[in-house]
Amino acid sequence: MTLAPLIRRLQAIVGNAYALHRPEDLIVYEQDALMVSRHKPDLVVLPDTTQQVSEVVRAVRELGLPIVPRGAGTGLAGGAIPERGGVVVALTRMTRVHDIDPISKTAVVEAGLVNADLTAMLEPYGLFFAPDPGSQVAATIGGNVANNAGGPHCLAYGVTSNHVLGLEVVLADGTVTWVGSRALDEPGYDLTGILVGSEGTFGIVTKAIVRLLARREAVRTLLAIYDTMDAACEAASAVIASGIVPEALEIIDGMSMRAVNKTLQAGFPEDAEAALLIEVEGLAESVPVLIERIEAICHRQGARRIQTAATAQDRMGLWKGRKHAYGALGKLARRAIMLDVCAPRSHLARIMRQITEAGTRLNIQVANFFHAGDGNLHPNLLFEFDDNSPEYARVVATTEDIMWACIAVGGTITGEHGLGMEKREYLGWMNSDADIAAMKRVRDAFDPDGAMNPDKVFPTGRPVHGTIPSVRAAGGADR
Amino acid sequence: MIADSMSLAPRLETLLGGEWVTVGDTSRWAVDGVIPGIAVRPGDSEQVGAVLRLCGEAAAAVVPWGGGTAIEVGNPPRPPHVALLTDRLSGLVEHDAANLTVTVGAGMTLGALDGVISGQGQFFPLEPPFAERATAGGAVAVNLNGPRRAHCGSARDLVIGARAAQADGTLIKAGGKTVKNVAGYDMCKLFIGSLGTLGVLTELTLRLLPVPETSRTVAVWGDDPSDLLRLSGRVLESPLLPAAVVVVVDAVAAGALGRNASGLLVRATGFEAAVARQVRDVTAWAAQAALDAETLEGEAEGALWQAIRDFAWAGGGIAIRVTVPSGDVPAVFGRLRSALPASSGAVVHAASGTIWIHADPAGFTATALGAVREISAGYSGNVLVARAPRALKASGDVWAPGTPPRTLEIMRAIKQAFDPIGTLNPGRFVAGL
Amino acid sequence: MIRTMPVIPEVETCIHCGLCLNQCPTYRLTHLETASPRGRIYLIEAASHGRLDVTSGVADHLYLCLACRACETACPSGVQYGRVAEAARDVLGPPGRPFQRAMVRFALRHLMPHPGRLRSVAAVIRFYQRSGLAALALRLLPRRLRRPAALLPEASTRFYTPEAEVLPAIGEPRARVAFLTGCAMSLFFAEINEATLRLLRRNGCEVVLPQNQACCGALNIHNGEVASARAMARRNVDAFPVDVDAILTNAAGCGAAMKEYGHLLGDDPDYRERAERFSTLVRDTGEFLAALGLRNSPKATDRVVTYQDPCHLAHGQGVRAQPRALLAALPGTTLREMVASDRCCGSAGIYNFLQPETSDALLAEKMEAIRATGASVVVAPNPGCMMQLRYGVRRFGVPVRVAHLMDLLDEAGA
Repeated sequence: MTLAPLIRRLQAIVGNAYALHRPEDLIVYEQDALMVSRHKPDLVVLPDTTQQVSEVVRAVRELGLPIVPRGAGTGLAGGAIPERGGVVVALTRMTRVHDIDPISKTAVVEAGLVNADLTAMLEPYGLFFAPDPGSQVAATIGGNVANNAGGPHCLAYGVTSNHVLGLEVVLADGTVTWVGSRALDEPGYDLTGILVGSEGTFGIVTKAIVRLLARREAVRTLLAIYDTMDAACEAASAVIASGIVPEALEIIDGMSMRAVNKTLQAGFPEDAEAALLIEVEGLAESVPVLIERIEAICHRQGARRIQTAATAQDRMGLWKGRKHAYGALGKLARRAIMLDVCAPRSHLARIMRQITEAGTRLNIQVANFFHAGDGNLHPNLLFEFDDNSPEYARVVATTEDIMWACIAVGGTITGEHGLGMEKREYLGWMNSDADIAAMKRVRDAFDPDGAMNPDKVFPTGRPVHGTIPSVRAAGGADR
Repeated sequence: MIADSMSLAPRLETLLGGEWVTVGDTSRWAVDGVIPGIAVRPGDSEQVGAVLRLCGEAAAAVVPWGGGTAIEVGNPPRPPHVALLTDRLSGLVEHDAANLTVTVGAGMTLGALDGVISGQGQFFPLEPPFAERATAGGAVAVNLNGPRRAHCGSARDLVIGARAAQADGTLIKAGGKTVKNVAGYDMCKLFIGSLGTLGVLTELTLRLLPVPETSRTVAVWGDDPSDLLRLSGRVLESPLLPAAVVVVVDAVAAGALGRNASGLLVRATGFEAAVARQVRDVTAWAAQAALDAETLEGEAEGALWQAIRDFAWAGGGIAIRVTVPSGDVPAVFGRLRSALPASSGAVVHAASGTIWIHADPAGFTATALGAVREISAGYSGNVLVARAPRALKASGDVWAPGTPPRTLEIMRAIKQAFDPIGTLNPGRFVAGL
Repeated sequence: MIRTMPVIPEVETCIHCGLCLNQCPTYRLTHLETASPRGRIYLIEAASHGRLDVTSGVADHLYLCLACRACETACPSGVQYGRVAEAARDVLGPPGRPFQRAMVRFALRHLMPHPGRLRSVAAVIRFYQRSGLAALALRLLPRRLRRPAALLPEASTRFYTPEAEVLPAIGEPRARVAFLTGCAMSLFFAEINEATLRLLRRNGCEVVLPQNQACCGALNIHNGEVASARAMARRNVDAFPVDVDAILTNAAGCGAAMKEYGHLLGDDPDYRERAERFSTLVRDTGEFLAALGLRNSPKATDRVVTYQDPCHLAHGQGVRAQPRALLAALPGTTLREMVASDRCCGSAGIYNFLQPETSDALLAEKMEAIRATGASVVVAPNPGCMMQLRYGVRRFGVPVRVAHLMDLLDEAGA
């Protein structure tokens, strides 16, 4: 099929500069932040308005090509990789803020707006957008919506779906429609709720009505340093079990802290095996009480030392360090794969032990930094070989063992990164055929032809890693 | 109807055992005057599924029942129907206190749930009307929220896992017991507020919160609700983090609270020092506005919030919920007041933009309802006629949704896919879904 | 133009996380992956592994980069994109369409290494500006050429010529330093060089001005002329003494380039060690003075100043706090930060001549940011930034003086 007529049509819709077709323009859209797979799109289009998105979708669908929506391409599960080719529709030009309502604490923003840019824009109003994924300086709101992004402060404030009131979406037939509204309790099924986290398989989200929060008047951050990961996990569980839900409760292991220290003056200790990074926010009167209690728990759980961030700069340093942890792994090994799994918070220490055991058994080094407060773990597998080498099977085996351990205690195979390509073959480990069939029915109601981001989320029988997932029963379907 | 129930009842009896199937004497499960032919009380999820399948085969509609506290929400049921009672699905599956979650049978009442978790210093903050009797499944399926919604979250924020029986009898699970989970679509969302039209909830996993150490409420009394709304605006724009901010308006509402005035009620929860500060600030702001304030705690405070929670539903009368963007509450409320009969009362949940209206059926006409809807629509709000005499309900869809046509098409397609023959509460939900 | 791209090992460090994207000025303008550091690295990587031909389109993408190195600040893996870009551009050759490229190559190869020739060109520019031809040209030139003409800074009334090879410290000596007079600084900003030297001497520095010094080579490195840049670096390594406390420059671009001589001459066995030693001595004058501490108490001037971080100072050398600390030491001076002070103003060496559209767009944003501070002075301690900002204040009518940090310190008698 010659694409020339389609290219001309797309150029007419979005302008020549934004209908990409030359090899050097397309090739950079082969990947997102999942580095184990790459597929070249047939074309890439960057529309500027919802109307253009709609026209693009119509034009592409007339030829029957699949459509892959894309934000900044910071996703770690390969959700924006055009595995079947087709047309990548990148929303990065759609960055307008249509409305900020400081009284109702809502904003209407376009999907391509960068998360951190929104929060920067809200600064004068004393408001912020709560989801703060590690990629927030680059990731778009549309991408956050597609993956139901989380982040450290989601512990108290909730994930993206808790902060999205409505969405404008372009469906596979090109129609533009709205779900949800600026008011709560929009009648009908919660299509906003199901669209958040649908990984672009329902349509292209072009605008979002987001909920904003008011900046708290006081904030305190502390770092509790431990000699073992086990003790740090027990301390995290103890904080939650005591009924304290801090705004953020992170654990970082020694290996990761030392790696971060190499690229950044984050202020992490060089000599610790694990540290809890805890932040509490709220009224000036409640924050000191919380800190005092948390410190007491941390001490009781064997903290070697507790340091509090004395200045805003110290605090920013710690958080920057935390958010740079993934990148800093590049200093430790040639390759790193970040997993994203969850376990109930009551099982943290046990799961971390199992993760360490899996790494030892399969001879894969594992670095950890994670959202301990909500049980969202990020074991990072470090290795020196390529993903097409026979050694890679050990990486896959470690991944599988870790996911299985989480499922066994009532956890999940992904807490905030999504299934994308990376984990789609494992959905059956979590869910029964009936569960998956129900999900597919919803997808079909939005996109009966499966045109939008095909082959994501659901098992295809085609492995991503060149290794076929082990067959394990959907034991996770039951507790 | 009789033919259907004649053939269906024995099959249901075979399935569940005779003692769990009631035929004939079923008027107590009437909804909007429509009496079910049969009432069944399945004992577990599998039985719920089997009941749905049998009813589907017999072309009987199923109306799921929890505590019945909000059974009137929705359009009138289409006969013939079977009332499916979930009261036997009331067991505790697991209270993982250290994880701040609980998994319960959908038929467990929130009162019973509180009994399970309060001993460990935890609570479930949904607080729908008559929470003691409302079941977890019913409260979630109807999605009526309480005064602490803006502070503690709504059903869609608090439900993290569910099991549901589908129309064809198969069981599915959604979510799990972790607070973050993006493995597949967030199917829980489909079952929250969908009135059982996509499946019958049989089990739920809920997020819990620690019971705050201190709770006090500042009650500010005044004659002019707009003064109180202004003050509530000041509270909401301040750095304070109140657990609830509610304005109760007019004789009816105030009567329930034993005060012949309108009131602003600001609830502060948490550590003593923080509660004291919030009480102090609100009291001072009230004084600046030349309004009387008092502080309530203990039983008096508990009774006050219970009255507010149940306000629109207590006694008879019409209950209407208007939801608008929270910033528009003062404007909307001002306009509603002039459109409503003088006998109406209102509770305004200022932080969530929810206004509950309680009206005397005698003075409340379809014209008045039309006016309420028009006002709300002007602010991209929505209106639910939660309870009303049959005639008023029958005058149109109780939600009268302004859903865009293509969005409604998707909803219909979902309903069609989940319940192709229309077994699950057919016709009762938005736009007849 | 089909060339093969060698494997650039630095590229391997990129983990494709995308955190650089939104910090990149050209990505922020275009929102195209090809205009982002990650995209450029991807192109280089794909070309190195034979998955992509090195077409002129690839070169265009790699030359849209300002080489501002904001991505290096953003990168959690520590990818030194500046080095990646330099290596890739060395393969591609100078930027632009054939004629333009020939001109650039000629200038880089035959003017930049020769201070005398540069001086002659500057003299012509000075004559052109003073004779009234400039005003005429701005009206008569085709639109395409008007902009570069307008961009030219007003050449100094004189060029900077060292009056001696060693200038003694005034008062008690505290340090002995060598100073790079620089090409742009001495030809277009002679007064600033003079102010810098006065300031250094007043603060107890004996200053060595090596006669044989050359341009630092930064422009050549950034524009695919690494071989000639190496020659210039060798000449400077030969010319500068190393028995000094520091080798100073008041141009951020020169400082960043000279701090990399060790890397640039890393493959040259004769020069490697000396180049490394040279690089460890290099300091920006602001960086150096902040560490040394000002000796005299400056006089007070009530004013609001805003500070533009030169890319090659902030991102290239990590020098951010020191110039601000010096400004804070001036009584009466209030530093009011602009939005995104470390985002490129669009100058970027010769970028503003080669990529006028992108450069203008960045300049417009920058002028708005400066205007919003209400400052009466914008400090930008780098000649390229100063030229661009002076053009900007004229064009956008922003009533702000564009000054070098050394200017303000010298004026205050610090």
